[in-house]
Amino acid sequence: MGHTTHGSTRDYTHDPDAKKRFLYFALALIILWPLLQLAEFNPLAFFDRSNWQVMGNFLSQFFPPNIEAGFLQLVFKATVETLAMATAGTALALLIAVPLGLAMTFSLSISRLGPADGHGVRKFVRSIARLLMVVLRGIPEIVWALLFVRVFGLGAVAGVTAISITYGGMLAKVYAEILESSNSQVSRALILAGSGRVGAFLYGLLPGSAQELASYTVYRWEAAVRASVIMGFVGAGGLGQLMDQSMKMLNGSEVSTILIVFLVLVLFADSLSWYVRRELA
Amino acid sequence: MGLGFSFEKLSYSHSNGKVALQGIELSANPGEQMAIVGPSGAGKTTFLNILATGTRPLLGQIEILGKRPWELSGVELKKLRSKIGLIHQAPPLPPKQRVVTAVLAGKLGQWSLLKSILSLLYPVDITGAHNSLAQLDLGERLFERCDQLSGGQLQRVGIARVLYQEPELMLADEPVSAMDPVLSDLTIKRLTQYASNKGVTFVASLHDIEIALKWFPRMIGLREGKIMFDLPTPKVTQKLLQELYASEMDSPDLNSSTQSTVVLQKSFEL
Amino acid sequence: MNIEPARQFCLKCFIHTAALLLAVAASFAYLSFNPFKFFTSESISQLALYANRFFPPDVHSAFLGKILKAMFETIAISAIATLLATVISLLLAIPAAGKYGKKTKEATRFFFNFLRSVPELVFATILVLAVGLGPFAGTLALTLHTTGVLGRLFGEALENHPKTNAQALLLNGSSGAQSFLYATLPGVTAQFVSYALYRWEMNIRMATVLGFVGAGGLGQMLYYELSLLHEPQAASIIIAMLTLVVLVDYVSNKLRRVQMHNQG
Repeated sequence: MGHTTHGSTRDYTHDPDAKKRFLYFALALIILWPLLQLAEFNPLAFFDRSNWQVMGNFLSQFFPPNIEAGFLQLVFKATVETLAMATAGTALALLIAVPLGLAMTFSLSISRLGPADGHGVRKFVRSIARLLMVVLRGIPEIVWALLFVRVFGLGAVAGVTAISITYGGMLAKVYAEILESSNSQVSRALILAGSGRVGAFLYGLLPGSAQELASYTVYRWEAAVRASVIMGFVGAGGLGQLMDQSMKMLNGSEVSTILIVFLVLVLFADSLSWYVRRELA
Repeated sequence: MGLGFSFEKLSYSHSNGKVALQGIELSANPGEQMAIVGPSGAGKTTFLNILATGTRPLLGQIEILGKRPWELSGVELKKLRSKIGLIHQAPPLPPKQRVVTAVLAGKLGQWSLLKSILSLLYPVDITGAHNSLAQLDLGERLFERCDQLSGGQLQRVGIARVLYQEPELMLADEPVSAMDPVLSDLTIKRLTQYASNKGVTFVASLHDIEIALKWFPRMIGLREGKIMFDLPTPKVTQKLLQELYASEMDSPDLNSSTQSTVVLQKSFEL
Repeated sequence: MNIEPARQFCLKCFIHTAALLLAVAASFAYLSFNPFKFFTSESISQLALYANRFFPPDVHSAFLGKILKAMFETIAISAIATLLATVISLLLAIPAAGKYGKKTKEATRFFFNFLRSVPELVFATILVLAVGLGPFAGTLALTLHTTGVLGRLFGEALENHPKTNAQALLLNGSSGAQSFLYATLPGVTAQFVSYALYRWEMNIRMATVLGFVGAGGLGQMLYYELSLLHEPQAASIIIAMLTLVVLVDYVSNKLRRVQMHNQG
């Protein structure tokens, strides 16, 4: 019982996986090299004297940060503008997401809840909605912001619009997912009791998912705050635009202040979001 | 004492205050083999852990392979540990790891870091690993992944790792709990034979009394952290075993036939 | 699921909702932005006019060639950055999981949090000063931010991983490094790879955008063309961005499915 006597074609002195692993490794290297070239990966650039001087100078200005009253006022106004952008943007996003998300879930869940008719139309609408969402979500909001700045001019409006359409798409998709995965027990019970499909949807599916929906929305608002800052770099106002200006002038102490304020802002948004989500539960 | 081990007045309590071992006095000569039996919660695993230098006793003197483990420096303790092999009840093997690597890990305590790293790229001693596995009829599984094996096979891989380690003190914590009776018997037979051939001190905790009585010359009965008996196996009586495993339930009426041993074993199996 | 009985009038809920609506209204007021008045036919037609300038997108082969190169550049930025960040995070995850004591752990975690909080764009702007315009700055910026994200994820995963396998190896005389390589690492690799792949999906999106501050890739090209008012060219670039994102999502999904298959 103790010895392997089958066939002795089994080799217990060499690792059978070794060749495969070596090939994968070689393949990885072959792909890595051109990638490094494309990314112009050049660690030596770090040691370029002239670059160092500029950057070193800039960084050394970080301490102490600029706390001049006039500047701090500017920073405060920019911060409020950023918060306003994020809030307004998210609110508008909701306006878009709710009908869009409902349309998607409606067509899916309704057919699940009861007998379906108008199948073809619904399918068409669903495909359009999905295509729309790919475009809205695939293009980063900052690109939209860049475009809207060209149409509406510099300032927060461009940012608000950009957030509303990209986040609208994002929210719609997640709403649809949440509603789809929710428990349809109650809605089915309502239908059995004689309710119409719409009523069953609104009173059965929606309430159970309300908390999750709200929670995700708040989470998105928090992300919107950060996005608003970033969009400022392309002219959409707020803290980002201020930071972009200070950087272009290589004013390290101003950048330092704005960076600190930004970190505090993110912390604040994070805590607020956490608080609201806890209250919802 | 030579190179066995000895415990004097050993005591240990868990952090929650529960006393695990009390006043253990036990010693073994090099090359001795013994089985530890007793009801669950008796302290067998704690005992083996202390013997493996994994847990530090609260009270008492211990000497293992001629050394006092908790008076050693880090380097010396590491060296001592490489001579002690503990077979765990639940084999501590990463599911994605291949059997060959899992077995070779037995000698990590004796390998340099460089050798260990190289072995990950290409196993440095495939033949050695295969030999250890072959002793347990698992040679063919050499290059399979651990999550492709059954519970009993995994336990044998864990055993193979310790065999590959070639320890001077071999410890086993319920090493055959996931194996069927025939395989359990065979595996213990192989282990005791290995220990005899290599002159290795061997201590195993078992829940199967039959196997313990059959293969080990010395038996220790542990109950609630205390040694109830420490006897050559022929001297272990039914009555002793009954008392060892006695619980609040009425114990069945037993005569001294082999059948009742089986009944006894089944009633108090862990 | 509980069907709750009809609730009493909840004062707290009312206050919270009122506060929320107030905040929203205040935001619009502060920005002097009335969406209902703003999105009148005038702005819509402005938008439509501007959108019209984008069609048809420029598809001349010479330009498409440039776009292709920029796409590869963007992929390279995101891939190298994610790879580099993974390696660094893996190394730093060990102190972050508490191996070297509480102080080191907190310091490492703080470092990760800092890197995570600063947006990639900000890093990119500063790094352009250090290493010049081009994809290298973008790669480094993305690496820094991703190290923060992955570092925290890896550190937590490592900390929560059961230590039994590693401890068993320590008992047979292994060193800490050996037990990490032979027991811990095989256990957490699958999760790490999953995190890294997910991060790569996000990084592709970021990599396209970093170009706006001069850090290479499709973003730099887009910014350039838009500043010259070359809308048809910009349109092609945007389509390329979309294609890239969809492609990477697809590949990443496939890779993750292969990985899950291997685990089964």
